[in-house]
Amino acid sequence: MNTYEQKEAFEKLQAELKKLKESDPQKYLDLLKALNAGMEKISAEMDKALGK
Amino acid sequence: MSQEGPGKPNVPKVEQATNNIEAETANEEALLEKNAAKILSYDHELNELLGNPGQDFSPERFVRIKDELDSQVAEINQKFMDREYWPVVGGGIGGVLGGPAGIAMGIGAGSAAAVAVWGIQRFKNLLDQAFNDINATKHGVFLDDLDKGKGNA
Repeated sequence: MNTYEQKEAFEKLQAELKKLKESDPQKYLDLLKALNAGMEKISAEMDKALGK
Repeated sequence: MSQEGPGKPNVPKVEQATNNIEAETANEEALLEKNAAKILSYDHELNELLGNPGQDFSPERFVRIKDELDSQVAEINQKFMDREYWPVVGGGIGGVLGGPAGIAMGIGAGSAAAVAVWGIQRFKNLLDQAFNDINATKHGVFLDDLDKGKGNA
């Protein structure tokens, strides 16, 4: 996937998430919470693996 | 604007709920930007580990992260996304969303979530690639050693 295709794909994802935010704010909020919880878990595991 | 009765304005419950969701969303988005930046920063650390043969990269240390990433991608995909979104990210390392430039690009509604979704997927791809490379390398070294009669991977 070249840079242009990546940019296009990202913009598509961004547009869909914007649509979700407008059409179903509760579901969008649930997604944000899931992402935050997930990323915090990954970060904690990653720090452990890197010996931080 | 008229208010009904003394004291607080009579804010309908639906409107209150909407305001709460908006406030909570703003908080979660702010947190997400920080978390996404941290996840994207691991690209660099992981690349350094993988790119330096002198480093002690032990895949065992990363198995739990790999499992965690796999389950998160599956969960988010199942609960929130149509299946077409994940595959388009691809396995490229670096690219348009690498580091601060990626975060800067993600300004606007829906962007924090997009950067986060993208970041998780990219990180998963990177780790998958790392595991594949390690396995391939170990396998290759093992075969080379056998050929040379060392018999030690």
